[in-house]
Amino acid sequence: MQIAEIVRDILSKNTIDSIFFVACGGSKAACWPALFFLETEAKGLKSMLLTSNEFVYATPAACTEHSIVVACSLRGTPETVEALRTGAKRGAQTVAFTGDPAFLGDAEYALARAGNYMVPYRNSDALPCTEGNAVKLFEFAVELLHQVEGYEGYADMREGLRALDGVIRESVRRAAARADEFAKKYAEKDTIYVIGSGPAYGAAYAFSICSLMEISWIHSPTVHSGEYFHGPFETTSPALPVLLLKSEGPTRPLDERVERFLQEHAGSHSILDARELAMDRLPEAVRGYFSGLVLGGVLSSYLNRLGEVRRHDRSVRRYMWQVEY
Amino acid sequence: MEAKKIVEAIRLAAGAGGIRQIFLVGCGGSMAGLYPAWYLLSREAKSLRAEYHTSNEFVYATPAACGAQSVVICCSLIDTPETVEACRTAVERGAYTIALAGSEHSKMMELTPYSIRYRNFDARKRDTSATQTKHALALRVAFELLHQLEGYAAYDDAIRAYEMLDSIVLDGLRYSDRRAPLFAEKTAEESIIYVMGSGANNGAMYASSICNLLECMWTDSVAVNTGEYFHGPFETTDQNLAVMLMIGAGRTRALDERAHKFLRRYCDNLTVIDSKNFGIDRMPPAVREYFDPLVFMPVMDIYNTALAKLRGHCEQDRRYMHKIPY
Repeated sequence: MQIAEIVRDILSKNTIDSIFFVACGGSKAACWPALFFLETEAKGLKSMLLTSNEFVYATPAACTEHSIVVACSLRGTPETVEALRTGAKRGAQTVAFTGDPAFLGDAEYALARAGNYMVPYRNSDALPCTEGNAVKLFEFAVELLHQVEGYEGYADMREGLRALDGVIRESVRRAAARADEFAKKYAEKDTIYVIGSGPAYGAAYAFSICSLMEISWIHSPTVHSGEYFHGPFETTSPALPVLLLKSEGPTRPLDERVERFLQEHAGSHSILDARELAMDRLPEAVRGYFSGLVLGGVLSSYLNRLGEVRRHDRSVRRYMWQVEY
Repeated sequence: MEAKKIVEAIRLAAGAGGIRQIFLVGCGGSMAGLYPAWYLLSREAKSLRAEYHTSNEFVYATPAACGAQSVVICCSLIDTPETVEACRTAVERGAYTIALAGSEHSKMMELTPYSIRYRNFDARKRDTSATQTKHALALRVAFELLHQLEGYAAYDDAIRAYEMLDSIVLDGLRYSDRRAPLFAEKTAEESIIYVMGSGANNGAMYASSICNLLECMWTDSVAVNTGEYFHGPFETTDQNLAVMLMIGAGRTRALDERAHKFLRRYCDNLTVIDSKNFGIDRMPPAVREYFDPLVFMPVMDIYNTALAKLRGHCEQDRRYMHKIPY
C-alpha cells in the first residue's frame, strides 16, 4: 500500500487523536522532520517521539485505539519490535517502517510482522532519497495531518517531495568542497560539537550519535541553537571544533545568532548553511520543513569524506553487533 | 500564587474541556526544570497534549495549536529575554500563561496574572525547601492540571510525596557527600565526562551535562539517554572514558541497568548514582518516578561541587554568560 492509502485505511477504522513515533538512534533521528512538522502545524493531533524502550517501559496513557504507533528500524531492532507490539496491545494502529523485506533474511521480518501496516524503505546514496526512512516518515506525517485535519500547505508539500531528490543531489554537489574542507580540518579531533535547531535538530543529533560517535568514534555533544547561550557556549574557544547547521525556516534566526557568536569567539568552527544548497527549488511556504532532510543528505557525504581522510571504514564497530549488550 | 489555585482559576475561566494543550517553555537549566512536569503529562495524560520547547523555538516557530485552549508555562530565574518574549507570545495567542519566575519583580508577572515564585535549592547550604524549586513547582502545576482537568488517580499519593521530599533530598545529599569526592578524584583530569540516564531523569541528566559540566566546569560533556546508548553512542566508550550513570527508581530503570551492565564490563572510570540509595522507595510507588529527578538534581550539584573544589575551579566563573553581549 502507498503511504496515502495506509493513512486512509487507518482513518476508515477509527478516529485518530495521537501519533507516537518509536525508534532508536539514527532511526529515531529520522523521525525528527516528521515530528517537528506535526508539533508546529497540528491543531488537534498530538504527537510524540520516544526512544523505543522508554515507550515499552513507560508507555503513555494516551496510547489507545485512537492512536497510531509508527516504528522505524532498518533490521528489526528488538526494542523497536517490542514497542510496536506494546502499541498493538493498547489497540493502536501500528505501522512498521523497515528495511525492504525483499532484501532481508526471514529472521528480520520481525518488525514488519508486528505491525498492521508496513512501509519498506532503503537508505542508500545510490537510490532516490524518497526511498529512505526520513523522507517516508515525513510523507506519512504530511498525509496524516492533511487527512485528519486538513493542511493548507499540502499541495506545496507534494510538490516539494517530488523535487526533493534533485534538490539533495544538487546540494551534495554544491557542498562537496565544504565536505572535503570539514574532513581535513576535523580528521584529528577527539570531540566535535554539532549545533542546529528546529527542522534540522534531528540531522544534528544523527550526525553526532551515528556519524561521529558510532562510526568515527569521535565524542560529540549535540546542542540546540536556542540552548547554546544557556550553558553550552561556555566551552567555546578558538580551538573548539564546532559544526553549525543553519536551517531554512522559522528557526533560522536562532542559528544565525549562534553563527554571530562563533565568528567572534570561536574560529575552528564550520558552517553548513541550507541556504547555500539547492533548497530554493522547493516551494517557499513549506521549504523550512525540508531542511533536516536536505542537510541530512549532505551530511552523509561529510561522513563519507571524513572516513576517507581518517582511513576509518564506516562499517567497523567495536561493540555494535560484535558483542552482547 | 499556589499551583492549585492557579489551575482552579484557569479551569473556571476556560470551562469544562476548555484546555487541550500544555506547552512548557524555558532555556537551559530552566527548560530542564520543566522536564519532570512534561514527563508526567506525557505519560499520564489521557487527552491533554503536552510539549516541551526551548523559548526561542517557541517564539519563532510557535505551534499552530497554541491559543485560547492552551496553558503555557514559562520558566526563568532572572528574566531570560527569550523566555520573557515566549511569555508575551503565549499571552498574545490568548493562552493561559503561567510565569514560573525566580523573582517577585519578573517582567513576566506584568504580562500574565498567573505566576509562581520559585527558589533554587542550594545543595551546599540546604537551608531552603526542595519543594520550592522550579522542578518541584512546575511538577506541582502538572499534577494539578492532570487532576483537575482529567482526573488523576494517584493525586493524593503525589501530595503525600511532596511532604516527604525534603527528608529524602537531605538523605540523598548526606549519602552523596561521601561519594562525590571519590567521583572528583576519578575525573579531576578528564576533559570530557558523559552523563547518562533515562525517563523522568532526562532533564536532570541534561542539566548536569549543560549547566554543571559545560557551563560551570568548562568541561566537554555528552548527555546520553540509556535507551539510545546502544544505538550509536556506546561506540566511543572505552576503559578510560569518564561516565556518570544515573540509575533511576522509575519504570525505565531497566534501561539504566542495561547500560550499567555494559559499562561495568567496558568502562573503568564509571560513577554510578542510584536513587534507590537515597530512599526514594519510601515514596508511594504510583508517583515515585516523577519525584526521582527532584532528588537527583541537588545530588548532581554535590558531585559537581566536589569536582570544582578538587580542581580549584570556581563554579560561578563565566567566560561569556552575563558578561558580554550575545
